[in-house]
Parts: sequence; structure tokens; C-alpha cells
Amino acid sequence: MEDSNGQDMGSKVTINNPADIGVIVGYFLLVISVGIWSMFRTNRGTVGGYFLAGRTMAWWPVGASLFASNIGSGHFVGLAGTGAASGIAVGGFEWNALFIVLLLGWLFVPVYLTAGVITMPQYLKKRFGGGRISLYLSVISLFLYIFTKISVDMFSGAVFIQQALGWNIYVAVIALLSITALYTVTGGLAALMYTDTVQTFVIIAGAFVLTAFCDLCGGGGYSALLEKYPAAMPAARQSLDPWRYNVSERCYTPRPDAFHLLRDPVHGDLPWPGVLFGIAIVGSWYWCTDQVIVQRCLAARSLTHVKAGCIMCGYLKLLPMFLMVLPGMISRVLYPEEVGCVVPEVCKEVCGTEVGCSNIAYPKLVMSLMPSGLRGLMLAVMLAALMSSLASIFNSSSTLFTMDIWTRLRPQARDRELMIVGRVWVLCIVSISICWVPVVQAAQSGQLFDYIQSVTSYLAPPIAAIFFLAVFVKRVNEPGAFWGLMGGLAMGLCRMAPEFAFGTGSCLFPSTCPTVVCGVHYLYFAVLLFLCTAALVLIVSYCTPAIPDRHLHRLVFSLRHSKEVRDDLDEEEQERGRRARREAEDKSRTKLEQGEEEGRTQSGISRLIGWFCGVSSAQAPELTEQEVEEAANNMPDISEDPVWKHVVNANGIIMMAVAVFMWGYYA
Amino acid sequence: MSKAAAGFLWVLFTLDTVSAQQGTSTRALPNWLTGIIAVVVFLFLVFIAFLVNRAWCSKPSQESKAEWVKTSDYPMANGTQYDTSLDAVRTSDHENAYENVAIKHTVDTVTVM
Repeated sequence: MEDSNGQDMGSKVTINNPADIGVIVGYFLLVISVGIWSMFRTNRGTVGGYFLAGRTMAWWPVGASLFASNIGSGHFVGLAGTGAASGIAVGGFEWNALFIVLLLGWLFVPVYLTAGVITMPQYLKKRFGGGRISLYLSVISLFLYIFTKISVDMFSGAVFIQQALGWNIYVAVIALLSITALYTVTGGLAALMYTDTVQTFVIIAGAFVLTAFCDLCGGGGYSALLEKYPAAMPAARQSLDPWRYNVSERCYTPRPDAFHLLRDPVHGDLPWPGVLFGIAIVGSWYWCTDQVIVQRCLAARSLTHVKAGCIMCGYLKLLPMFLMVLPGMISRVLYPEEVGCVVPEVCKEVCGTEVGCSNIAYPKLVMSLMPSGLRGLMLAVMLAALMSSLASIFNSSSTLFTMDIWTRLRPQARDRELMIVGRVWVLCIVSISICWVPVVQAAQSGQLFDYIQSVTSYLAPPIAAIFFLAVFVKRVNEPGAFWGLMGGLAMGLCRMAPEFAFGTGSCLFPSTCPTVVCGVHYLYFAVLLFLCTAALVLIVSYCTPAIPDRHLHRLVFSLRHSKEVRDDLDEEEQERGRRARREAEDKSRTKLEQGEEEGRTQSGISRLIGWFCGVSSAQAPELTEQEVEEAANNMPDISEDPVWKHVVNANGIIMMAVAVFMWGYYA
Repeated sequence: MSKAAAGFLWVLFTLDTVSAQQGTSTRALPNWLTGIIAVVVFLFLVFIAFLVNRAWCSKPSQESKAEWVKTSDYPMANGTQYDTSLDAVRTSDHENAYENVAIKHTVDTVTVM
């Protein structure tokens, strides 16, 4: 497989001229210098400083960082590829997010802020009490990060790098991951958010250059695309192996509804109720309940900054349709033989997979259309997208692991230990990702990529339902939430298992999966799963005793402004942790007094590493009982300046109006 | 009137989506018109939501004017030196034994005399 790819690359244009390499080197220098600059600006030695950037971020790094951690290389390959294959409807995935980010900023984040949490499992632990729900959520989040987000990004990054550079994929991936890990480990969230801002600029600027280039050289604007896309068919349509398959007409003809966002609810490839509601549900899992996104919002200076950041991200999310989906369609118009290939043998020759080559739409455009210099810029764009989203996932998974799993294993762990564990976990997850490369490579010839995508839509809706009910319905209690999650998981697995077993199939070789099981569109299934889970949660909750209000102040939406004292449901566990940490502190103090000279002999190397990673050897003493009580009285503030509140509200409505116009325009 | 207008816009809106599902690239309405109609409908809905919010969720304006006389302040209102407190005559069994809860929540203004 690798050999054949290597041969392919030899015949294609690769990036090896000085202009391209200069651009890429310049890009890396820029990112590294911004990373180092932000390293010195922030305190990285505490949990709040490392994981939440000290809660001092202004709205523009928040918005840019939301966008950059969302847009991965998967978008460039996946959106452009699906756009080439079936038209603009896939843009609905992006444009749905415009409404969901408002949901995030206006409804969810105020509650998370007043709850005073760092991670999402921590919120569920405070809201419901008990350990099992938060444990389940941490485990399934880490699972989804490793098996869906990281793999998708690395798969598509690999497609691009192979097309562009012809490098050995292991060298490329390891080099990329090391650079990413370097600034994740050293800088913490603040460095990440500032570099994300730079990455956003690079992504948007580069993608704009490509789109402008498409219009000037190849396409001739939207109207020309409208005219030429329906005729973008490959010449090679004859079956080379008539005993095995026939090439039916609908497999190579572009869809007649390619220029519609909203498609037939029964026969459409993305039916409109699914596009409107199903994507909204999966999207609200991604935007409102996932650690990666929420962590960025919690790092903001105030609630107004969160809202402004969400609006900025929303406006930026308008762009992928024009910067990725439409260029993908142009690519099919320009290269119907390669991008629109239909005969398996031809496809295998073009891109190494039999099922179709729409995934190479964007890389193909870059490599064939752009002059040298700009090709390097586009590679930098891909690297920016890949690195920013991988870095966010690394940081958030390390937050999850440290704050939820490690503190459960070792309640006596103090700040310094948590900092070290967080950084070590980043290294662990980087090595897991590297071990995952062979699987990703195998996926290029198989269908694993599709399975991975379906995993999200079958596992995410129950989590979204739990968070919606936890935030908005006071009556929901622990057994309801837990059994709802389990029921939802069971239903999701019931659908996922047959899909894995039968395969998703392609146009030429349809899947043998019976219609009863796989006939329901996966977006419809997401809606059904969401509703069933919610019903289950409500039924079980109403059959079991409610949680008294005194445990819920500032944990649910209706009580977010409450000033009453809250008796945390996880109080006992917190107390045990504090006691263990205090004991550990005493022990280390007595040890220090006994062997004073031993403590001084810290080697120069470990001090250097400590400085580089921002881990200080001195740590703040553990809070006493009284200080803990004072901290509890010092409630998080979500009050807003009325003027700015109205400004962001008005901007939110304007953004929704723009979004509705766009939906209407491309309906 | 506005209902009829909204109904008409809704018909236009659905007409277009229905014809958009036919799978043909010819459209009943040009793109920009569907966009504008969608925005108008959306803004109209926002306006309705705003009115509903104003009508149902805002507090009556008199409420802020009426200030309750606190029971513990009451004996001091006449400027007497006596340490008279209502708590002295209350039963200890029921905290609010002498407080008429029904009166407390009427809109009648109580003035400090």
C-alpha cells in the first residue's frame, strides 16, 4: 500500500521548491514565536492557569479559538469531498452551528460558570451527585476523542500530506504531533488560544486565496459552477469486470438537488428534517457539552466576553461553505476523471481506494491549480487546521484525565502533581495517536472512516439529552440520568453493531444491511435516540425522589442567579480530598524538615524542565477549613454591564438573521 | 391583518421549499427572494417573541413602589424607648404565628405612619 503510494507521488507535483518551503518555515516560526510569547504572559503553574488560562481571555481569542479547534483538517478533506460528491447540503453541518453557538453562550455557559467547574463530568457530579455518571462521561469522552476526532483529523491530514509532499506518513505524523505536543505541554490553554488565533488567520487567509484562485482561473463564479457542475461526469464509466458489478447511471451523475441545502425527507441523501434537527442535536453535543469547546468559554474574562466570542465564532462558521464546500465542487468540475471517478479500478489507481476519490478534491485543487509559494501557504493552512484541533483535543483530554480520573485515583494529589500528570497524559495520548497511525492507514483503503463518523451520531445524542435535561429541568435526578444514559447507549449500540457487521456499502456495492435496521437515516436516528433518552430520563426521574433545591442553587438554568448557599452533593468527597491533601502536605513538610539538605539537591536538568514546563517546585499551601468556606461564599459572577449585554444580544439577533438569510438563499 | 400577512409569507415560504424538493435545478423563486422571505419571517417571529416576553414576563410597575414595613422595625416607628418586640409575644411553636401571610402579598401600599 505504501509502496504504491510512493510511486504515485513520484509522478505528481510535490512541494520541493524554495518558495513553498520558505512559506512553511515562516509559518512554523510564526506559530512557535506566538507560543513562546504567550508562555511568558501567563501563569502556567496552577490548575486555573494551565487549564483555564487564568480566566482572563478577551472575546477575540475565545472566538478564534472556538473556530480553530472546531475546524480540523477533516473539514478540508471531508467537507470538500462530500461537497464534490453530493453538493452543498453538507454545508448544513456548518451552518447549523451558527445557532448552536448562541445556545452555548446564552444558555449553557452561564450555568457552567456559576457552577464553578472546570470539566463537564465535574458539572454532572455536582448536579447529580454520585460518581458513576461522571465516570461514564469521562471515559466515553476520552474514547470519542481518541477514536473519532484524533483519527479523523490524522486521516485527512495524512491524505493531504501524501498528496502534497509524498513523505512517509509516519515521519509526517510524528513530526506534526511532536510540534503540537510541545506547545500543548509547555504553554497550557493560554498559549493554545493565542496560537489558535494565529491559526485562524492562516486558515481563513489561505482558504480565501484558494477560493479566489478557483474563481479566476478555473471556475468563473457561482453561476458558472451552477452551469457546469451537473455535467461533471467521468468519461470512464464502463465496468471493467462486468461479472462483479455494473456501473449504474446514478453513481456517476451529480445529484440533481446538488444546489439545495434542504432535500427530500424520504429519498434525499441528507433529508431536511435531519439536517435541521438531527444535526442540531449532534451539534449541541459538540458545542454545548464537550470539554474542548466549553473549556475555551470558561477561560473568558466575563460572560459578555463569552457571548461576543460565540458570535465571532458564529460569523466565522459562515465561511466553510464558501472556502471548502464550493471549492470541492469546483474541483469536481475541473477534474471529473479523478475526483468524480466511479470505476473501482480507476479509483484505486487515482487515490488508492476503490470506493471513490472525492476525498482528494481539495488537495487536488491545491496541487494542480496553485503556483509555487501559494502551495506552501495551503500546506501551512492544512497544518494549522490539523495542529490547532489536535492541540485542543490534547489539552482537553488531559484536563479530563487529570481532574476527573486522576483525582479519583489519588485524592491526595495536589496542584503540582496534577500539573505533572496533565503533561504526562498529553505525551501518553500523543503516543496512542502514533500507534493509531497504522489503523488510519488501513482505513484509507477500507471503510473504517465511515464507521468512525457514524460512531459519533450513535453515541452523542444521549449525552446531549442528559445535559439539556440537567441544565433546564430541575426535577431530573441521579437514577434518571444514569439509566437514561445507559438506555441511550444500549439503543445506540443496537444500531451501531449491525452497521459495523454489514458495512455501509457504496453506490456500486450496496450494503446488505436489512432495511429494518439500517433503513432509518442516521440523522433521523439521532433525533429518535435523543427523544427516547429524554423520555427515559424523565420517566425514571419522576418515579424516584427529587433532589432538594438546596443542592441545586446555581447548577440549573432557573436558579442561576440564586444567591443561596449550596450544599454540594459531592461535598463529602471534596472534603475527603482536602483532608488527604492536607495530610500529604504535613507529611512532606516533616520530611523536608528531617532532611533539609536532601531537598536542596535538585539537579539542574530537572529544574530546567520544571521552568520550561512552567511547573514551579514551590506550591501554594492547601486551603484551611475557613478559607474553603470563604471561597464558597465568594460566588462566581455572571452579572453583565447592561449596555454591553444589549449590544451582544442585538448582535446575536443580527447573526441569526444573517444565518436565516443564508439558509433561505441556499434552501 | 398581521396574521394574514404572516400566513401569506408562510405559504410563499413553504411553496418554495416544496418546489425545492422536486430535485430540479429550476427554482420557483430566485435565491435572494427566498433568503429575504426567510429573514422577514424570522424577524417577525423574534418580534412576536419580544412582545410575548414583554406582556407575560415583565413585573407590574407598582410593585417596586410598595415597601413592606418590617415587623421588627414597627415598635421603633413611634420613637419610643421601650424594647418592645413582637417576638416577645409570639409562640415559639410557630415562627409565623402572628404574621398574616395573605396580607403580605396584596398590592395594597402600607405606609409608615
